[in-house]
Amino acid sequence: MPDAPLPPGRPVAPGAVPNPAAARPGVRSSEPADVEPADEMPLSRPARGALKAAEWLPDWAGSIRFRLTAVYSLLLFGVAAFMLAGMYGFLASRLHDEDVYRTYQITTVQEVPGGVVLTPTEVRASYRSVEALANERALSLLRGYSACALVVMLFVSLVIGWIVAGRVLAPIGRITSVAREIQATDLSRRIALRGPPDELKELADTFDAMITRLDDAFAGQQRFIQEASHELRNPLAVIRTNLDVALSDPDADPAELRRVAELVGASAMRMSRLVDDLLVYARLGAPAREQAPVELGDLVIDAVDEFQAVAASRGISLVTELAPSCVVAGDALALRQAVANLLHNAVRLAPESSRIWLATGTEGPAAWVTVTDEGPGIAEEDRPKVFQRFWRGDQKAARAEGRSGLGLAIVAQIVADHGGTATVAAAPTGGSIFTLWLPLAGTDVTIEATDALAVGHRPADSQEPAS
Amino acid sequence: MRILVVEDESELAEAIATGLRREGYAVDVANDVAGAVDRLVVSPYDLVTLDLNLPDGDGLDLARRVREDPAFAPVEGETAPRILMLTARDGVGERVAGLDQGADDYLVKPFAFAELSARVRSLMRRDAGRSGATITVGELELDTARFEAARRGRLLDLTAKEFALLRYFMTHSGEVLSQERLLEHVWDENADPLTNTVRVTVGTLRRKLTRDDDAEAPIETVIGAGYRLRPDLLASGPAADA
Repeated sequence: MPDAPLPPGRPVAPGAVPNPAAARPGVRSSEPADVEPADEMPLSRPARGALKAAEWLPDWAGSIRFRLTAVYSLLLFGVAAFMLAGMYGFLASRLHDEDVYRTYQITTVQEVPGGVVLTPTEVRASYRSVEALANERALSLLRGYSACALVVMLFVSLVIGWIVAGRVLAPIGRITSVAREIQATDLSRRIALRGPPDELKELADTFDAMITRLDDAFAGQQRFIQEASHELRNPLAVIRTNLDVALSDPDADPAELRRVAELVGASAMRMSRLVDDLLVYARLGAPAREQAPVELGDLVIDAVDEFQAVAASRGISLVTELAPSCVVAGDALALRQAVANLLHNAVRLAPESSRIWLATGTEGPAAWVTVTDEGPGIAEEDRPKVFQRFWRGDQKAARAEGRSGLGLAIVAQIVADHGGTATVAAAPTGGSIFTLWLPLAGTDVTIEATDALAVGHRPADSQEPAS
Repeated sequence: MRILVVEDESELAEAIATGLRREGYAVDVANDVAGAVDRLVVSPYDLVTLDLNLPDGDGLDLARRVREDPAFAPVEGETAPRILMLTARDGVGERVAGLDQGADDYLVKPFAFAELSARVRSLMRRDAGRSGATITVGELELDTARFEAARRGRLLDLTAKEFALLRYFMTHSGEVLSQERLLEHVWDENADPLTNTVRVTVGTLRRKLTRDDDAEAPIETVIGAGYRLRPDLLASGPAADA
């Protein structure tokens, strides 16, 4: 597509027409030099002419099939007419400039007294006039036949062109009809165009891939809604059944009613926390995130400030070890929440009077934040599950504390939205080490979870705090 | 009628148990698959309410095991427990799977307790092949929905335990029921098998059931075997009056 606008920042190919206004010295273009004004949007002249022509054509004539046929036939007609005219002209000129004659030996017999005298003479006989007549006839015949042939060919080529164009365009019809059949609820259909790997097959395959992505996204959404409604139904069932049973007892004493009321209150609290987390989670993954440089160290300092008091009340000391210039591009609020969620988890689970390390650093194109605790750790078989929605290590305890089981899922989603990944591993301290990997600002990479990453960054064991 | 409530939300399990106990059922609670298996192997439950999402396993698997594993097979003369699934999963596929794996009924959380109670009654009725909430044996009528028992139209003043005992006698009318069986089906796991609670309760029930003009008590003691409700002694009409 030579007509496509060049992406900004790409070097302009030699021969490309520079913006005239920008090129002229002393004239300041109102547009940045590398952005072409819209009305200069490249459309070749024939394309513009075709667009104009299409406006006054009737609908059936606007179809690609018709246009292909017409262009094909007209081109064929033009070429044939040109060739026939050339042949005719060449023939006509050659016929006229060559003189056709014949030389005859004529012997004149003259009777003279006493005998005969033979006088041989050469006679050159020209057929100019006869030939001219014959040529004239031949050329006029040629003209007539040529004209007939051209007309016949035009019709034949129109018919053939119509059929061929129809055959060539048939896959497009299939693509259109499948696309029309695919409703939002039935994304299971595919075009599955068979045939050689040509442009149309590529188009159909691209379309199929797009539907597959949509289908996956839709199924994921459905799953999420299912899980969320399941999570909300349990506390609802607790509330409803307890109310039903308590209210249907005519002899319920105030203490019993108070117990039920407290239980209902706790369940309602659990539900509202769940709804809050669900909303946070559902908002993630939306486009148009803020893109600003974020220093990971600042996030860690904010998180430590937030949880210092809670940690201190349990005798837990927070130790930071921050490397300079770990700058990533992204949404500072979201990333702060990710770090805060990790620290919240660590503070909640770590044993009393233990330490939690928070560290940042860089490695290759990635920056990392780690949160390491001396806590109980996570069983190896559970480690892949911790970032799943609604996974809770201890269902009962989680329920009692009103946890939603979304905290780490939110962390994973935030990091994934920033092109990074979150990992967990066993720490040498006996607890767990959670690592957030994020691409450094200015790099355009996506960090995939690999075995190498899963090991995670160990905090500098040697630098255990003196305190 | 003895019911096992398998549910990992203990607040919900306790509420269900309280509600069902008030209706005269003997109710035990298990919070996980292991606890449910322990109880199911030991006690012959009439009904199990089963949550699908349990911390140590899937309720569907448990339902299938109860149906297929010989360890859970009922003893001679008794029926396997009915299974009522209580779950937050509401997809059609989930419900079909639940019913196919051996559940007799399916109730989606959150539910009204009245509906749970009605479904429990409906499942219990299936044993005796009856329909409707009222059980009738001769001139004895028992309304399982309104918790009323009447003989010849006169209401009997029964405690919850006596009501439950009468319900069990009436659903097994004519059968000889041993003390152990009554203890297992009418009392929950907290009953002390060494006390004579069964004998005492059967005695008070018999006294309340017997009318002055009865030649014999409708609940007879079969020596060495147990107790039996005699439908022939309760037959209404002139033959019985004679």
